[in-house]
Amino acid sequence: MSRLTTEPLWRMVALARPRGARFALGVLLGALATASGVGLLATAAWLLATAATHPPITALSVAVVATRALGVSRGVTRYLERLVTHDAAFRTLADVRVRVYERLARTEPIRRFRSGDLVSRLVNDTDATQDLLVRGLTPPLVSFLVGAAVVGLSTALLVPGGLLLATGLLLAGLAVPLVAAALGKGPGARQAAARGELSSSLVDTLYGAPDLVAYGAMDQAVRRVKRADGELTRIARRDAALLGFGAGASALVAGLTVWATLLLGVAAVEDGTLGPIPMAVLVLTALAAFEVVAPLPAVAARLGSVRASGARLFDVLDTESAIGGTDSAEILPEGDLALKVRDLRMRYGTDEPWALDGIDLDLEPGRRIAVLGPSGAGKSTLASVLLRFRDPDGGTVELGGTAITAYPADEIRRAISGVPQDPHVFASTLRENLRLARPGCTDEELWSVLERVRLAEDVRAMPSGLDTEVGSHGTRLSGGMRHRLALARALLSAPRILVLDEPTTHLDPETRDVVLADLLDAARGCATLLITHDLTGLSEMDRIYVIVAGRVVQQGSHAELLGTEGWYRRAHGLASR
Amino acid sequence: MKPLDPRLVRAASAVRLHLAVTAVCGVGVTALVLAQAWLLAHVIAGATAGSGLADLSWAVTAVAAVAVARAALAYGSEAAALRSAANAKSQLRRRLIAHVTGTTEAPARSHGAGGPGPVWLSGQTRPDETGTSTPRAGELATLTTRGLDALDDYFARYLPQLVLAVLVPIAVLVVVVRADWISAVVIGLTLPLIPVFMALVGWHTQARTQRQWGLLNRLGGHFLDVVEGLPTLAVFRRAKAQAAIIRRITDEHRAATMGTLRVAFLSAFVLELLATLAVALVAVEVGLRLMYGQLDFETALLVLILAPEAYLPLREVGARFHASMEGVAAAEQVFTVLEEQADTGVPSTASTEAQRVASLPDGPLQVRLEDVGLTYPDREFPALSGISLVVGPQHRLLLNGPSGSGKSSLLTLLLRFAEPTQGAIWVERPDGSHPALLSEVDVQRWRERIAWVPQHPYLFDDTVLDNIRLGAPAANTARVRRAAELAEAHDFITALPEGYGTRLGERGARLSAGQRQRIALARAFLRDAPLVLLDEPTAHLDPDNAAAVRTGVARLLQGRAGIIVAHDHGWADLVDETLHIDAGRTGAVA
Repeated sequence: MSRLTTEPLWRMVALARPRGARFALGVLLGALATASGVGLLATAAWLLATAATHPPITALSVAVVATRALGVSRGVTRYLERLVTHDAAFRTLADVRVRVYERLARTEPIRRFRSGDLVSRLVNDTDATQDLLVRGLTPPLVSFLVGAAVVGLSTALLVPGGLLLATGLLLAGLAVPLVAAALGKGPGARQAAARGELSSSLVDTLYGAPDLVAYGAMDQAVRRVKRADGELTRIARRDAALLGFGAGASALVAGLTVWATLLLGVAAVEDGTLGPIPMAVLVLTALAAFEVVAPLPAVAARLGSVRASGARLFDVLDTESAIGGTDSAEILPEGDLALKVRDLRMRYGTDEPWALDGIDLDLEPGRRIAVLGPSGAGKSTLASVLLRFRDPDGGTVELGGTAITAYPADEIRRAISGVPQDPHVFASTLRENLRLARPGCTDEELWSVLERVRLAEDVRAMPSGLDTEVGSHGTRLSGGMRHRLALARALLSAPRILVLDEPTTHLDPETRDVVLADLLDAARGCATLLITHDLTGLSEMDRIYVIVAGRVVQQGSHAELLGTEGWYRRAHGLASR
Repeated sequence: MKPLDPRLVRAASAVRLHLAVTAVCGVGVTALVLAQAWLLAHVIAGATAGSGLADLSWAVTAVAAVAVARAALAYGSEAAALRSAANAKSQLRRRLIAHVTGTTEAPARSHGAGGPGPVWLSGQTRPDETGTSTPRAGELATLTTRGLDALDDYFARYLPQLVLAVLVPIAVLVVVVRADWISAVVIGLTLPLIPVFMALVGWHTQARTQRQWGLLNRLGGHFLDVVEGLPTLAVFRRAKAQAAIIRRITDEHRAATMGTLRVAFLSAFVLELLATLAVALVAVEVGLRLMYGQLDFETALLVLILAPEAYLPLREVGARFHASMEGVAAAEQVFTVLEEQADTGVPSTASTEAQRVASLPDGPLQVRLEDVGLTYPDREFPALSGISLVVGPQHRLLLNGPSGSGKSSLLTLLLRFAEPTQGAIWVERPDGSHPALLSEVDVQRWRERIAWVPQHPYLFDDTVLDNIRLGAPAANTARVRRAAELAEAHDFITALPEGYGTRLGERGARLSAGQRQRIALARAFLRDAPLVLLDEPTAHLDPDNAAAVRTGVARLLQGRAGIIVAHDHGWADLVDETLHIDAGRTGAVA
């Protein structure tokens, strides 16, 4: 790919191509608005200079009408320009969001989303396209169009005057913003580092306040914050001298260009190469012309961060799919299917250690197994393979005798579904949250599944019942209710194999025991794979696999494992003491 | 929201200085604007009348001088404004930190006096919440860094334009009224209309935006919600179907936002229209009077050049209003926090200087709770009530009960993060002599007698060494190592890449929950305090880690008084007494 096609800014602009006509209209309107401002002063200068020669009124009538018209047109066209460009940018945003989303859905949705910060940053990056289009693309185009027109007018009046103005506009519109942006990079980086230290000392002091106070270390922590603040303030004060450059240089270029134009104009009038009327127009045009380039410093200052957003965005859009079988049209056979995992190996990069290092595991129809182990043992990696978020790096996973990678991901998820790690509750109603697992199901079906997970009573007690808005991330529900809701969804989707990845994590112990018991009760008869790090409910399982550091260290029934010396017995002996 | 918050002026001396500098610069800029207009009009009119460069040379030179002076002033005021902004932000930050941490600008004496208190900050006042999310602290950290940075624009761009928006129109009017009174009337009539119309439109927009806010917010947050929930959608094979919904919702969002923008942009439209139209009217009027000989060319030019200048600062203020108001909003939030007293969180740990400070009795001590109750200010029901118990020297007590029963609140009282709202806590000799009210004892000296191991110990982005010696910064490496050995932490610490010198990362991210717990135990060992408070030491830990922590706890309790708070009975063999607590009351030993 050429450099142009890999440049994130160009690629972001290219995203707006389907809305090109709207953006062109916006640029045209913006150019009219800016040109109206300069044109008003130029026309008025002509009007005055001509009036000074006391001509008949008819000589002025066109200029009078033009002046009044320009007085109205600037406001009107500016207003329309803003509406048109914002509308076009919003339309492009819809396109970009869908593209980003589709790419994410097709690639691996899990790895990127281990941190909530990454998700919100990606969403902000997506929205940055809108910012680029409204504030980054239209103003330079408008400046270029109107600047060319103004230089053309000046050149027609006096060639050196036109050249002079062109130089001034290029300096003020291109050189000064670029130099200012380059000068701003150093302070930006310096201050970012100091701000990072301030922020981290603040976070430590505020979040760690109880520990600090209890151990008498608060003064020390506050001193660290003040040190960081002092450093940042010192840097910011020193950098102020650099950052003032843009404002000063713009004013200097504009002022000196007007001065030089005046000098040229007066000299030309003196030696008779220019009439007094065009001289007045030339000087006042130069005076008004710098309005054309006024928005550009802000654009230059913004481009850096927009570009970084774009680079991150295309990083996502260029990601290859992490799972195979997307082109396949294979259909799973109906009926019960056995799950067979052989020598499964997984890692998160070629330099990383194995997260799963040769796992063997069987799940027959109607049976229930548990995968138990300390956190970080690789249990959730197993779930992400079964739910088709990732393909195995080694070994095989077979469903009904065929490798799961031979099927499209959604076909496998028709058979294997359940509760993923940290199930998401959408900011919508209870009904919508449930129905996404089985679109079009009736209220009776919903109530019946709510009964099974023992949520029906709570929902009936809510004033709006199934229409209750649960809030962002389901914050209006209690932790136990959120988990029951996630389970209800899993049951509604009625998979042949139910995968439950830490379905009761973050719950307090009493609630955890009750929810898990209800859960296993409700899922009775369905082949179930429970992934857990605590010991609740394991006596109900047909087989327990203990995974430590990516390997199965023990397996057997609850009774068998309790009767054997090993990790399971140690863990149990301890908790029941 | 006011353009200039008086509290901002009062709070930061840097703001007062900045206002003075800005006013002086404003006067300078105004004078230069007038000078430039007059010089340009003079030279153009002179050249038109036949004067040559030689006759006009001083005026032409003066134009260059004015240009240089304007540039210098622009540079100087911007640089000065950014310096002022840096100073003002620092002053606000320091006041805020001093306030919320309960320290004062001067070296601190007693923490939690007047400030909202540590428990409020860390969000642990809600006893029924076991989550680790602590929105207060996060909001404050953002507010004091990125939030306040928005003040840069306010100081450097907005305030100077605000000053100019007052000075320049007045100066222009004064000049124009002497040159051509009709133009002065046109300008004088349209100028006041601009703020009036802008206020009207702004007011209307605000009402409309507020009505739409809920809708805009919901539609705007939809994309984030869907992307966050992508794994869940994928599991239920709904991922593909959502693409169409994203497009639909984004389109709805666009329609709703454009509806608001059509009105919001009206304010800029009114400004632009009035400003330009007034200039056009002045130009035509001056031109006609010039034609009829009622005005000379130089005066007419002066009026034409000055007319747009009268509106320019107002337009700039309008254009920068929204960006700079973010800074004002951040400052307002700072003031809101500064004005919040202890009533927002826990009861004030009110041992201010004014109060009597009781002296702690010497030697071994016992703590006696007499009918103690605690009701958090924003709560209807007490977290604790009628608690009476005695913890003598080397007496070990297990408090168990369901979560939310008030167990942790008892530790909060003993740590003096809160004061009882009922009853009293006494500190006395084991025979009951020399009783002192805990609330009157010097809080620093009292806390020195306590080693606390919280349920979620906070580890700092610092070395292992400094994390362990949090309460004893002067402790040498050998003592820290001994404490780590006792806490079953030494082995995993030496396995870290740089041993005790390893930085733990933000909130100790490098370590597992069990390892963090053992670092907290090491802190407690190094503290070597006679009273140990342990809050759910092994909750949520896997068996191997729980076993290690348990060994450490058993060692820590030897020869010390201790209170273990736990929801289960797994600790009964380590203690002398077990108390069951439910709904804030002690019950029979379970």
